Amino acid sequence: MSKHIVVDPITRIEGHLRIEAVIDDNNTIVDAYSSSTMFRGIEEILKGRDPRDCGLLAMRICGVCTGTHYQRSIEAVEHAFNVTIPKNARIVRNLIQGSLYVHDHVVHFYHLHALDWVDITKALEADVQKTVDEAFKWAKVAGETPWVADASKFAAVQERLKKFVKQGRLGPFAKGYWGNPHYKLTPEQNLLAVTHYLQALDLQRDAAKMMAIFGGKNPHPQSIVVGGVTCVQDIENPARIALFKDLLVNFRRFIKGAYLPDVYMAGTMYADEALDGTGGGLKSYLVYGGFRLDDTGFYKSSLLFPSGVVLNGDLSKVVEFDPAKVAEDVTHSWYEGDKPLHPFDGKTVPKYTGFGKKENGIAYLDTKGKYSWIKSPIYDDKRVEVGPLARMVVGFAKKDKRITEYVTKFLKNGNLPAKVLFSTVGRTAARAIETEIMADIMLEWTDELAKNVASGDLSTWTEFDFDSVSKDAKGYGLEEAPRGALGHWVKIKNGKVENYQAVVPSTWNAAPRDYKNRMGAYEASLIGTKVAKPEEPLEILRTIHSFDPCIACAVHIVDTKGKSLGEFKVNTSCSI
Amino acid sequence: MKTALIGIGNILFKDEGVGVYASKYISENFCFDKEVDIIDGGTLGFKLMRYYQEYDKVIILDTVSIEDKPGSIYNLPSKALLGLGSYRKTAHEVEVVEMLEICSFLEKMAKVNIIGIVPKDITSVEIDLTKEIKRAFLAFVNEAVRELEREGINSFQKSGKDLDMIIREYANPSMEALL
Repeated sequence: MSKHIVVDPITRIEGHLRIEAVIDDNNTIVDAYSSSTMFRGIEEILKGRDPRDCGLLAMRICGVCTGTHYQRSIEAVEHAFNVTIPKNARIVRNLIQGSLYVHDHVVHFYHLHALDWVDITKALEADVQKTVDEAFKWAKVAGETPWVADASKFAAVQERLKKFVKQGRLGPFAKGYWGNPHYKLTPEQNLLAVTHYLQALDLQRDAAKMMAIFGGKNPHPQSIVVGGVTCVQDIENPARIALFKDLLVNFRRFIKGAYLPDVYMAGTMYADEALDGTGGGLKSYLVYGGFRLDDTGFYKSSLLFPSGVVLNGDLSKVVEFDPAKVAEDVTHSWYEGDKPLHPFDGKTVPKYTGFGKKENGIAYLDTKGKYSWIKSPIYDDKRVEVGPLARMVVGFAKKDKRITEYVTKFLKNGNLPAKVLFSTVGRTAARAIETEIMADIMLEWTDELAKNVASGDLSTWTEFDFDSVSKDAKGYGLEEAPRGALGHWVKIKNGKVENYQAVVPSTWNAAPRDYKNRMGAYEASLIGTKVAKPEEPLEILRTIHSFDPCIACAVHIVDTKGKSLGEFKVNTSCSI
Repeated sequence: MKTALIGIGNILFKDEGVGVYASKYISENFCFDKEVDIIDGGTLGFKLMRYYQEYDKVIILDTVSIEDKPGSIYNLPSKALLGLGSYRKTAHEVEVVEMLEICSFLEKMAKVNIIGIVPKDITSVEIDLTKEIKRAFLAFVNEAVRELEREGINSFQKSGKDLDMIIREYANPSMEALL
């Protein structure tokens, strides 16, 4: 008898991600469906506006990815106008976006994903001295010095944990599936990871500060405009660049001395899952390409993350990426439409058809019909995954020098074959490898910027004649956001936006089935996974979290989940 | 004491933007006898952590899902909300409450109050507020001001932009104004 597992029962506010999985008698997932809300309707907001202003509203799509939407929107317009930005502007944009990467990836690993691998309650049993040995062991595998290897520090963390447990409050850890047999770290390894969790909480502030140095107003960056950047004074001031570099150097030490060793540790302890390909899914990957390394203009320059498509896990072939082959299908999405459309011609006409059958008070998705607010993007009539794993796989398959070097080093240090990449563990490892690449190259970029400014080049903006370039133009801003390929498409007529579409990374990954009933990346990644305890869907969360899902974009309401809060109501009848 | 007042919400979804407008309204129409950082937090996500970590007192203005009439206002101290975050149940909610949960594990964290208003419409894609929320707007703002007073921060009214003008400005941002 197959059984349905629903992760995230529908709350009163629609939104968020919901996964329905069907397991067989052996607790193996045989079918899976992903449903979510996604930001929709940006074109309605942007139509008729001055294209130069679109970035200011596009950044409001999402809070985690504010800056990256802002940049993509501006670059779509620059592409339409055929404007090439100056070198300083290119480097500054890379540094802003690079800071977002290292911040996002570290916070994702420790605060949004680690507890899928780390059993925090087991850390209480750890021997602090042995934890020191463990810290040295994994740092050595990474070829680094441990970020922390001090027994008294581990003991202090353990004390803090004990105190929390005694008070009956575990804060963010209160609702874990502790003790689940699919947790595989030793008590010492768990303590080491929890210690890094807390340290990362403090350190992530530095990465946020890095973003603000060139991003201007925090939290919403405003230093980027069509044609370049406006943070001229920050670039001219060597102290600002030096401050950025100081913060980066320290954060980079944490990446190398804690994050990578922890990923080696998890990769080794969960090697069986990596080797058998648990969570691999589609094994087809798309990279738009990202981070321009020279000033030859749009989609011509060499890139940190080269574009391309790898299909069916075949690392011997890379298909060149062609932006014309991107389309979105709505067969299983709550929109009207009968065939896949290219984003230039994209439409977003809602057609909500509700849920399917209801059993025991739970409404299930109508999986034969429409069941998600996310459209299904298709590339050249294929379903693909995007994100750090896609970037590492495509770079590796393309024999990109830098990516190959880092990926090879990782596999060699960890004593793992390349096939482990095609798994949940591999997806998590790819993000760590990419973080190291980014931290290293950002050091090079800060030096490149300082040198260029010192040489007397203070140019930050390219002039263009708006009236002549905006008569009839179209363009796209295609980049690699932390979560994967992100595209904004804009059509401009007589100085105004005629059509606008954004396809965000989580659309590619979290999408439902398509018109050929082929699964999206999340759905495919769950098939074949064995669940230790169906009532504790730890394995499902581990795999879905490995994509770094970001689909809470649309709704930011504080959900009180029905808790009685009447005593906190403010009496407004006698308000001043 | 470091104090922050943060407006949260997505202005693209009608009433969802009320917290953002309220923070702007307060910075336009009030001054205080002690320093208060007023922040347009937008859809801040996990970058909220930084404020919980770096401030002594944080007041968040946001919409809140409570079974009550649109426009009803609640002043929720963080302890009322802790335990609601269900990291394990949802695939990701990098939101106000989840960040509270994560930061509650730190040795030092700001005293947080969430001033929430029950919205009427957070699904229409439109930069505006419903009339119910407009009607309750001043009471919402006043509750934030009173919360500051409870912390010993006194306010003085000044004359600034009104709500409609603030919404209009958010609906029509211009790069030119920034240059």
